[in-house]
Amino acid sequence: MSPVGFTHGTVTMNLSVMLYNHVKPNNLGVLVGEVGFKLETNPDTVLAPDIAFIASDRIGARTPGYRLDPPDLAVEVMSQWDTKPEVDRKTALWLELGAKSVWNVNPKKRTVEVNLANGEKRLFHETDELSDDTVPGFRIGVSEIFT
Amino acid sequence: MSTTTHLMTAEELMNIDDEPNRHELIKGELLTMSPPGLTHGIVTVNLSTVLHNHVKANNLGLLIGEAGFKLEINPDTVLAPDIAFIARDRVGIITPGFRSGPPDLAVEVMSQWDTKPEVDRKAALWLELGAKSVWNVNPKKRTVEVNRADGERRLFHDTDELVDDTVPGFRVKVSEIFA
Repeated sequence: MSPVGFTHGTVTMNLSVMLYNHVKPNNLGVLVGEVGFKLETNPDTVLAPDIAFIASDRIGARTPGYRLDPPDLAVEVMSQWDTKPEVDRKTALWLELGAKSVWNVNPKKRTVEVNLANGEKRLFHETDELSDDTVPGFRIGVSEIFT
Repeated sequence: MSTTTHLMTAEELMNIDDEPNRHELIKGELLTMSPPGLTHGIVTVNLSTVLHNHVKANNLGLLIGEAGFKLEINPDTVLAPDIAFIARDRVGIITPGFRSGPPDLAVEVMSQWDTKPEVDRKAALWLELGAKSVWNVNPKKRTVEVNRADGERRLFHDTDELVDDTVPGFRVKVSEIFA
């Protein structure tokens, strides 16, 4: 990917910090930014979501290289040069390769689309409160992400 | 890290899509970097959060991850630090594209495939192009090297407390970053 623009960077930082401030004190697991997950071998698939959450019971040993399992949650923040079909394709791939949930954050529309492995898709608007059992107990006003 | 010799513009850089690689542009030369591993991600989020919590609580400015800064034109240079801090009086208007001009602070977290000469070259470039301070975070050695525009260089170890008045009032135990 290209380096992201400023809006994308701000939104990613806001959401990372809010997730981290919930995940860490509640000891729910590990939150990481922009790291590679190696999901298929020969031919290889490596994806790097903007933010990823791995639940504590699935963390296992920390190794320096790519992690070989999918995260529980992958968060993708759309940049101005991402198109909806690209984002949908990526989401389908994440779910197919084992992520439990994918959040597509759209800074332009100020929405968050939550896509669950069970096929459920929910769209949260600016006045909604975002929650997803993949990160137990987490809830924030969508508008906070875009401030 | 690999390079090509074709001179590329910032506009062309915006249109590259070869997920999951990351890119920067130095004087028109494309730099391609593999995505980092999990340790890099953990350290980056740890440090982002402590910085963000301090910057926000004290209204010091803007903290941003992985955003592109357009620092030179024709040939173009666009760098994207792991974390950047822009002091409040310099934030100005936030626009969706690359920002023109450097941040006050650029933080680079070394991944397992970065070499020290590459990191030093990047730090020198940041300072030359106007950043006030560059932090090189080394998860392997558990150190943070602070490089400042005035030429001062300080190395903080695991048991030290990291401070740099580029982010006024900020202090954190180095060990917390690597926890």
